[in-house]
Amino acid sequence: MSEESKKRLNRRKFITLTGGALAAAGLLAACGDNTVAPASATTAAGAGATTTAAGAGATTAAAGGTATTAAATGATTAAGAATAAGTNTSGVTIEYWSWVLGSKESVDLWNRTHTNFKVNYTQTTSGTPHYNKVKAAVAAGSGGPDLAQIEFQLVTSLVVGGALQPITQEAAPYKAKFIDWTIQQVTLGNDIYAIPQDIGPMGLFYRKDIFDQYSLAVPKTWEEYKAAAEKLHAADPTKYIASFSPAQPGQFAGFAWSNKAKWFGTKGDAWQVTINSAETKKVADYWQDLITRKLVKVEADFNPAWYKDLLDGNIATWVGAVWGAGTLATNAAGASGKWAVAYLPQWTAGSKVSGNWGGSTVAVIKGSKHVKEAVEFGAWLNSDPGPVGEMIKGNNIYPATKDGGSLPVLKQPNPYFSGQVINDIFTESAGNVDPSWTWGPTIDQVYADIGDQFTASTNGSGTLSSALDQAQAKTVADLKSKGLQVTQ
Amino acid sequence: MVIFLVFQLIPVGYAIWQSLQATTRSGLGIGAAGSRFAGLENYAQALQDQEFIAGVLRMLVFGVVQVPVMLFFALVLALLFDSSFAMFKKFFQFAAFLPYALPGIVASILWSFLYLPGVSPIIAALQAINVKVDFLGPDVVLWSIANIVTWQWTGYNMLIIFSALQALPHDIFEAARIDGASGWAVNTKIKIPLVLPAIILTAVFSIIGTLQLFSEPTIVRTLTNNVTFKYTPNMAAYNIAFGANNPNYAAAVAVTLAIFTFILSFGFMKLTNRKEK
Repeated sequence: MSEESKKRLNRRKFITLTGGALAAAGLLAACGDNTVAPASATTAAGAGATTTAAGAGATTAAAGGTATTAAATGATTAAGAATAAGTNTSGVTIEYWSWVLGSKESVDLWNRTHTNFKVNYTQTTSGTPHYNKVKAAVAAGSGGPDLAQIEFQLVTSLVVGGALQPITQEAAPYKAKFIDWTIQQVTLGNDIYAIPQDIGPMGLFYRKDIFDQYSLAVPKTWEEYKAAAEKLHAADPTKYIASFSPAQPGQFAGFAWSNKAKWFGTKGDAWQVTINSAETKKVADYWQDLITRKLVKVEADFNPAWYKDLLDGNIATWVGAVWGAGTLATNAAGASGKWAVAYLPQWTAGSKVSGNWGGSTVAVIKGSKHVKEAVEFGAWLNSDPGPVGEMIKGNNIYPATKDGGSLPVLKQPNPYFSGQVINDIFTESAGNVDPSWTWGPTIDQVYADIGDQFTASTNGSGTLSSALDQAQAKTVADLKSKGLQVTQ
Repeated sequence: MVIFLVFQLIPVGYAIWQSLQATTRSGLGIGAAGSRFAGLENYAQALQDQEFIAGVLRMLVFGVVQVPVMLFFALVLALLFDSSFAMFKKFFQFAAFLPYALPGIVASILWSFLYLPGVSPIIAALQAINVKVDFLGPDVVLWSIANIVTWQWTGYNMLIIFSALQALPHDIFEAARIDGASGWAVNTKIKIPLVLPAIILTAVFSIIGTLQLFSEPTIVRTLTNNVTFKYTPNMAAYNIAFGANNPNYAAAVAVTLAIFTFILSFGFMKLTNRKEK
C-alpha cells in the first residue's frame, strides 16, 4: 500500500502526530508558513493511513488525551461500522487489522458477497502503533486479530518474534496468483508466512522543467546520473540532483537490491549476514562520492522541509517507488505537470534490474483458530479485482499479483505527471525486481543501526561504507545474542 | 496497602523479574522460543551498551545546563510575580503557565516547525540578515530540545516556587523593610532561603524529568536524523522493547535507569540537606 511504504517509523509518526495535532489544535497559523503547513495536514487526509490520525486528532483536543490514545479510539469506531448484513453459514467471524484505506470497503464487499464466514475489520494506526498492538495481543494470548497487515521487511522479524503462523498448506492453492519474488519474500525455511498485498517497484521521479531548463538528459545509468548531478549543481549551486536521507534504510535497501545485493540469506539452519557485501558497498561508495562533493543535499525526507524542496525544485529527482506518485501529488501538489517518471538508472548500460521499496502483506497471527478462513479471505482480498480496486482507490496500492499490473485502473494517464501512464514504467520495473533478496530476522534493529551510522557518516565521522561494516558487525552480534545461528 | 501492593510493587517486581530472563532461540529462530534465567546478563549488557551510556551522559550534560537555567528563570519570574510592582500579574502568570498546559507532543511539534529550514520564520528572518543557523544540526539539536523543555516547564516550576512564596508570612518582609533592607536584600536574604525547599523539590522533579525525556526528542527525530534511536535512555528502552523486540533487555535498561535516577535524585537531596545544616 502506498502509505505503509513510505515506511519508516519517522515519517509515519510525524505525519500521524502533526496531522492530528495540527488539524485539531488549529495551530496552522502558528507555523508561520501558510503554504507548507496545511500541505502536511492535507497529506494526513489524503495519503491514507493518516486520515485516522487527522480524525483522531479532533478527539485529542476534545478529550485531552494523548495522540496515541485518540488514534486508538478512532480505530475502534471504524471497527464497529465494518459488520454488514448477510448470512453466515459457518458461524465463524474472523478479525482483520490493517491501516490501508479501502480495506473497510473490501471487507464490506466480502460480507455482502460471501456467506461461508464473516470478517470484522479494525482500522489501526499505521506503522509502529499497529505492530505494537499486534505484538501486545500475541503476548497477551488473546484479543488479537486472525489476520493483520504486515510490511514485507517485517515478516521474517515477526516470525522469529513468534507472532505469525505458517500457512503453507492453506496458501498453496493461491500461491501462483502472486509475483514469484513476493512469495519468496514471505517464505522462511520451508514455510510460507504471509500473503503478498502490494509492492513498491522502484523508478526515477524527475523534474522535467528543470531537466529542460539545464538541458539535462534523463539518465539511463548511474554514471549518467552523476554527470547530470555535476552539470546541474555547477549551473545553479542551489539545486541538487537529489536529497540523501541517511536515516532512510528502506530506500537504501532498494538501491542495494537493484544492484543485486543481498543483506541476508539462509544456509541450512543458519543465517548469513552480508550487509557490507561488495554489491552494497558499491552503492554506498557511489552515494558517498555525491555526498562528499556536495552534489546531493543531505536532509531527512518525508517532512515539510523536504516536501518544499520537491515543490520548489531544489531537488531535481527522487529515486522512489510506485507509491511515490501519491507522495508527490499530495505533498507537492503545486508542482503538478512538472514531474515525470523514468526507468530506474542502471549500474550496467542496457540492463533493466530493479529493486523494491515498500509493500505489504497480510499474515495470520499466532493464536488464530481460523487459519483456513483467514487465508481464504486474505488471498481474495489481495488478488480479486474487487477489493484490490477498493485499495487502489483508497490508498493507491500497486497489487502484488501477476496480472494486477494490467488492471485498467492502473493504466490511466496520470494528470499530475502531465498525462504520462506512469505505471507502464513501474509494471516493467515490478517484473525486473531481483528475486533473491531476503529480509533478516531483526530488521528494526538493522534499520536503526544503519540509520544512526549513516547519520554519523554524513555528519563527518566515517563513510557510508565504514558504517555498513559497523552495521554488519552489530547485526551479527545481535543475532548471536538472540541465540540465532550465524554462518558465513 | 493493597493499592500500594497492586499498583506499585507488582509492576516494579514484574519488570525486575523480566530483566533477569532471556529468550532462547535456535537455528533460524522459527521454532517456539523458550526463556531461561539469565541472572544479571542483561544488566551487564546494558552497562556495556555504548549508545545507552552515551544517552545517559547526554542527559547529564543536558540536565547540568538546562535544569539550572530553567529554575533560574522560574525563580526570577516567581519573585517578580510575588513583588508588589509587577503589572498585569494575572495575565503574565497565565501566560507563563500556559506552555505547561499544552501537551508535550503538541509543544514539540510547534517548536519543530520553528526549527525546520524552509518552513521556519525564525530561520528565514535570520537568513535575511545573513545569519545561518541549523537548529537541527548534530551539536545543536540537543539544545533545541532543551529549549522546548525549558519553554514548557518554566511556568510549572514558577508556580510551585510562587505558591511557596505566597505562603510565607508577610510580616517578616515588613519587619525587614522597617529595618532598612532593600528589595534585593529581601529577595536574596529572606525569600530565597525560605523557599529553598520548594526550589529543591522542583530541582528533583526536573532531574527525574530530564532522565525520562522521551516525547520531545522522539518528535524532533522525525525531522532530523541527528536524534538517534537511543538518543535518550527512555528512547533506548522503548526502541529495544518494541523495535528490537527484546523486552528482557529493555526491562534491564529501564531498571538500570530507574536505579540511576534514584541515586541521582536522592544524592541531590542528601547534598542539599547537608548544606542546609
